[in-house]
Amino acid sequence: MLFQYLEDSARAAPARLAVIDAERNLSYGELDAASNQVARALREQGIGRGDRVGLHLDKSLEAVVGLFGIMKAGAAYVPMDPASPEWRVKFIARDCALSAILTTPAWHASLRDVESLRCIILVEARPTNTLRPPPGQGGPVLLTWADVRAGSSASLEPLAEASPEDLAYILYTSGSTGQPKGVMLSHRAAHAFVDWAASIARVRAADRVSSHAPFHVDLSVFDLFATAKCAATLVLIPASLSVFPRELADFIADRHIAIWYSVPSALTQLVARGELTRHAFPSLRTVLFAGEVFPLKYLRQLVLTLPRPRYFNLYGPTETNVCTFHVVTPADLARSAPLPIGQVCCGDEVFVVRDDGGLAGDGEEGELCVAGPTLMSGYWGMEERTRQVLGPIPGHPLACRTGDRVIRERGGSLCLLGRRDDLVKVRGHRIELSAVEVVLLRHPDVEESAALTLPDELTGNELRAFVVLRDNASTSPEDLRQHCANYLPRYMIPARIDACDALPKTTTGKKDRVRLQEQARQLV
Amino acid sequence: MNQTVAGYTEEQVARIIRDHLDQEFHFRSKDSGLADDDSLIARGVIDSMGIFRLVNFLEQRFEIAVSPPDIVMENFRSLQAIRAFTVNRLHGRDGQESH
Repeated sequence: MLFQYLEDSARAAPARLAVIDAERNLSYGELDAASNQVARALREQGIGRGDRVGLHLDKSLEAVVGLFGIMKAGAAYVPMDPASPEWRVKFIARDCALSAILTTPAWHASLRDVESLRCIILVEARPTNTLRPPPGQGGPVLLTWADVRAGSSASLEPLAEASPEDLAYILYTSGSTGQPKGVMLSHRAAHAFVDWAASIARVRAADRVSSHAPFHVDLSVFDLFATAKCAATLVLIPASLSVFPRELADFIADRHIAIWYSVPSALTQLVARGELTRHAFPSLRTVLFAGEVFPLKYLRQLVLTLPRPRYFNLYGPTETNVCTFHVVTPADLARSAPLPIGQVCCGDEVFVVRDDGGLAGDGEEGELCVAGPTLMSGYWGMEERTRQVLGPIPGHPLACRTGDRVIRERGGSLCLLGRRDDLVKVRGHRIELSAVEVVLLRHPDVEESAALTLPDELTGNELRAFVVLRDNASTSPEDLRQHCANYLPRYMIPARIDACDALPKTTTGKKDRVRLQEQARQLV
Repeated sequence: MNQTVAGYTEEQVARIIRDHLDQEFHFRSKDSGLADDDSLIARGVIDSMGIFRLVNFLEQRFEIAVSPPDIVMENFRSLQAIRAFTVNRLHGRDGQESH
């Protein structure tokens, strides 16, 4: 079970710093003890094995304590972006029937009518003992963080029936119908990735590992658990810093970060705007990146500026975490072809399935399918959709269809060619274009909608949209973006929405994506 | 606040910036309103792409120059900070125009 990494490190090095959050920190002993308090508080409310508990907090010491405590209680943590619109937060809470949630006082009134919730734990921005929950009127039990931390910090009795197949967490990702879908990951799946990743990254005890990715994104699984496994120190990056590349560069240097993992666009911002040459970064040894294609122009500049670290391209959808990897070489940087996604890892197997259903040989294209221990357990509450993605393929009884088209080069290295469908990446975030289109169509003045991306090497893809409005509609593009903000996370709100008289269509009547892109490019 | 710099009063600068932020970086938060000294990042108003779009806007709208060392938290953390930075730059612009 994932929390055993924490318990083992707490036994071996209780005084070692486990997490640093600005001026505050927790040692392994303290993190272990505090997470026991959370686990105990949840168990006392009857929450345990098989349950889901929401983690609706900014990245903080409390969030790290919370997720370990949730797992120790036997439940799965469901991390949610605190900046999500209310619609999305409540959708997720109801969809997976959360039994409990860790959240902030401002959200209490909104969440108390989620029927499945038996307990709400309120965590303030600056924990004090002064918050008193309003008098009970029925509804979920309210606990404050102080209540939880007042409990016994002794370890709990291990659950006899706990199994590595139990869910560790559920990560919600964009669904094509506009509703997010929950990817269920077991302890077994997380272990397979973490054990491999900690080894390839050569995480050493007392290394400073950055925590850049939010906890609802699967890159955080490396940050949290590879660090705990190796008794290294997790340095939480304040949200404000990732907005200012120059200061982020200072932070990485000043905090002696040794291991960095992020989406490529964070690194391109650092290279282009962070003035990296002001620092030597002597501690930085490993740079991992995943989630989108890294434009070679910026990767070259990064490696030129910081030649010492080893650079790794990691690949895998949330459904499999990481399944292939490629070590960046000087030869890669001299070419113009995109980086390969490389060789299989984590104990998985990969298969390339041709359009005719047969297995592709070297030099042939097909869909990448993955079998092995890192696979998800399925999509929460979506048996039909799960069956479409997880199932038998030639050569294996159970594989995950990634939807990515690849080609296997001589030598076995895999290269990404693109996607068959309308899934795109914006700054590493996965977006189903149809989800954006569906939300736009919910607006009464919108008759038709089309979402698309315009590529930009420095900022990554930019999300745009076109709409055809009802006659005499007075809705402005700003109104529509506000409407999107009511349903969609920030990264799924189009940077720009334009009205047009009609959407370009192909001869078969489908939206002509190519002409839409041209149309978008011509706008000033 | 009635003195003008490069043709703008501080109040006008503040309003132009606030209107732009409302339009470009609309947000939904549990409590309403954005105070002058609220942290724009903590409130989720600006993210890593937003900051550079905002800089472009300031450069174009006010005809000032913003260079990389200027793009730090101190100058952009709140409405107040952005206004102060912009007015400071307008003074620089003003000083270069002949009277």
